[in-house]
Amino acid sequence: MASSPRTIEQSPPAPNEDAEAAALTNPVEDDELETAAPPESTDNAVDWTELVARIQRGDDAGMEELYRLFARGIRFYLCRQLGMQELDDKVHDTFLIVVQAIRRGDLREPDRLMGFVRTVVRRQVAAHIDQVVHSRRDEMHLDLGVRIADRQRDPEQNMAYQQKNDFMLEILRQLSERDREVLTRFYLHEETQEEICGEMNLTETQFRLLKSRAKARFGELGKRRLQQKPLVPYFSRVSAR
Amino acid sequence: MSASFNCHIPEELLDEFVMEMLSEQDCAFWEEHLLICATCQDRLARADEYVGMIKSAAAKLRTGGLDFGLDSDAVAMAGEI
Repeated sequence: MASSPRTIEQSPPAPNEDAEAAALTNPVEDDELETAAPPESTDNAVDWTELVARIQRGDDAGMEELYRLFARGIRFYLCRQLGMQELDDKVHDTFLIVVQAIRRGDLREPDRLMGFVRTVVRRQVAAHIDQVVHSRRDEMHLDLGVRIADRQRDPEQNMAYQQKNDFMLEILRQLSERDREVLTRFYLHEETQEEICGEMNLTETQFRLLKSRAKARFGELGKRRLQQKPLVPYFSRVSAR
Repeated sequence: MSASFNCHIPEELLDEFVMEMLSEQDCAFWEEHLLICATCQDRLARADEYVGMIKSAAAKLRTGGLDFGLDSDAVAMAGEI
């Protein structure tokens, strides 16, 4: 591998960027990380090799441990990619495949259990997408992206979505033209940092700071607006709604 | 380097993750982490919503006259969010 993925520990903000880094947040996230429930276990406590050995022996407690560790994540991944439809069945199928593969000895590097589970989940998603594409091919021309989650909403969800959308529009209008342009180029047009820097004559640092300022401004305006007119609690934790 | 419970997705990478702008290596690393980290699952869910909202709002502004030279495909895609 050429390099390790960027992590919090590996890329701390420079001292003079602390304020900007603190502001580099989605409007819903400012103080929530501190209050969010930490992961259940500690990483150091998980011995993947031992867990795999227990599952291979048919140890029920090992199966329960596997489920406890991965059930939420598998569900989250599948839901994000494919939507809620038949989600329980998909999660169950995925677990079955993982456990059977472990018992057959297909997992040659037990300490890579997380990577193995990811591979299985991704294959499940790809298989489902393939199935959907085939079933819809005769119905309409599709230009499917990676995700095909069913985004249908009920009337209540539609109303909440519309409120959030209008709110976001209002916030975006209040930003400076330059901030808005950065956000629009990045989020809507999906231009890369390099492209935006080139066209707007920005250095990478300027881009990052400008983007973080705009984002922070976005969050500030959102919070202020909510204090004046509490609508759907968009800037609250999802779990608290 | 293996993903862990204790090393969360950096804030500046969340939106890039949502927009599938990360390298394959980074994406794999953080997807593994997401399988076991409820905190980052919640953060990513909020980032999903944020990116979706801002795309949609930016698309509406664009059609309302604030055009930054964006192509119609990008606007159409955002409108589907």
